[in-house]
Amino acid sequence: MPSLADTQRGFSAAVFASDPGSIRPWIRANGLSPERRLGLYRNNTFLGLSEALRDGFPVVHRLVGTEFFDALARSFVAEHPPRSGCLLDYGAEFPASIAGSELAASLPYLPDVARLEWAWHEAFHAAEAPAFGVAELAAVPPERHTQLSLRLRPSVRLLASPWPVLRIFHVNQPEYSGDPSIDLDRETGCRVLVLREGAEVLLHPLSAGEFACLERLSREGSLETAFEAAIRAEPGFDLPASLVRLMGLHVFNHPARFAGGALP
Amino acid sequence: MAVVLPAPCLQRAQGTIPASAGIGLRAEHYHEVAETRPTVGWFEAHSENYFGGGGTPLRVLESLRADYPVSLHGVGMSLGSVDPLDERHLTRLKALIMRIEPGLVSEHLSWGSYGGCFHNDLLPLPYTEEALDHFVGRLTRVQEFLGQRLLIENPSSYLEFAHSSLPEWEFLAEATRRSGAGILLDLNNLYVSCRNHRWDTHEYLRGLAGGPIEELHLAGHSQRPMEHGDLLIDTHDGPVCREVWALYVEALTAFGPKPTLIEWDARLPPLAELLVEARTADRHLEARSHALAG
Repeated sequence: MPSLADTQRGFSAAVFASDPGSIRPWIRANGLSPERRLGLYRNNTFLGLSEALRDGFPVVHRLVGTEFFDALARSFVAEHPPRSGCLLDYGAEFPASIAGSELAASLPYLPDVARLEWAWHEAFHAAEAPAFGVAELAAVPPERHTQLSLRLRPSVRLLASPWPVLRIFHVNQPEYSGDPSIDLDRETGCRVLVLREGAEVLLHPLSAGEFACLERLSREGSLETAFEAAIRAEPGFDLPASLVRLMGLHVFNHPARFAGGALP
Repeated sequence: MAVVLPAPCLQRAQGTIPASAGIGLRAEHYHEVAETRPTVGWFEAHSENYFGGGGTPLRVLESLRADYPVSLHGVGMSLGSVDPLDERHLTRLKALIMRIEPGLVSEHLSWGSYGGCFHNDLLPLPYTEEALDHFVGRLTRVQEFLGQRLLIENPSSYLEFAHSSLPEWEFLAEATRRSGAGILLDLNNLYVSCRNHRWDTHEYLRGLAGGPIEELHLAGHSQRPMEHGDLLIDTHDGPVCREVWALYVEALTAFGPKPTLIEWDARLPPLAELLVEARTADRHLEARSHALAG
């Protein structure tokens, strides 16, 4: 008689590896073959997870159609079964899987569209955090501005792509009514800031300097090193003007910290 | 001297789930539910959909919690699995419980992961003494960690293991007795499994007599033709069928009025249609209460 562990190992192999060999003898036929019964579970898992991916990547789905999408999803599910019992976590590796898929080789922009959708998904569910904006900055004595250590809000995601994925995303929203055509030979890449404002996820284009600045701040809070990175990416980068714009977009977290301690 | 406590900063409806009909909270209905505040006894939310930490789902759930009791129903804990317990999952659930203050928290008599890979499904256990010990041990540890008693729901299933030595109802009754957990009896699942495995629904209900039945689920299923008759699939995509309503009346007679959820997860109808199903359940509950009072 198989142990509980044997039973679950055999069942899992039947679903994910299409190998019912070890569990088959331990399933009652009772009018329907064990293979058919296991097939139902295999179907449930693959259909349920493909559906979750369709929900998480609606633009990719729209771009390639259901048949193509389901083929991408099936091979992803087989290679990357969920590692968590929370379906919200599922799909982080889908963009990389698309990038490595021969099926999608003729659609080189597709992985970045998927990355943008995953960033959207993460921002949608991220923790709440009050923003540190221009008004909050005004409460800080100007002589201490250079000591500010800025953190990004939990919903902030950054994405740079050689493809116009921000436009691709926008023209493929259900409510978009303009001309959806995009000339991939003429339109350039983009840098995108994703963040949630209230309940709504917003996407903003960033300049090279702004992107480098935020990317640096996402790893360490020092404004000085972020500024250096921004200048390297964009000579002539205007830090004060950019900070005001980014603070207006509520990119930063409150309470910001001074190098030496919390804000008053 | 009497101390006047400040009013709580967050308004809360009472927490206890009443013995009336509730409906599942689904993303497709967020807007309508938030705007119209329908007349219904309580809401049930799938715990994992609110593991994100912020944003629309939690905002809607918290705002509803101000006006309704809420129960949290988990589908991803994989209680019966031989994998180690997923601490991150339990920590997220515990945080959600503290945030929402649910009247009931439930999970399933099933497993869902092996070797860290999750099936996104409620898979059947072999009903053996070994599995029973394992399930009771896990359930006990989870309840201790959460500081929360759980209700355990009977699954629907499409296969039986040849090495099972206990009927499902006995396994469920024994697992909850030994762990101190309660039972969430899903009458649609009961009907689906009994039909699929040729078990006797009356025997199933009799087997749970005197058990801690604390919530009932009602849902729709679909029928798939197979070579030897139909197999019933637990799809939650339609109205409750006549046979399940009949089982409901039988269960109310056996166990008394209990909180009853109308579950409808796929091919969702307009909210109004869900509320019609809930009112049908309420009429049965009232009839049972009157019969008891009379």
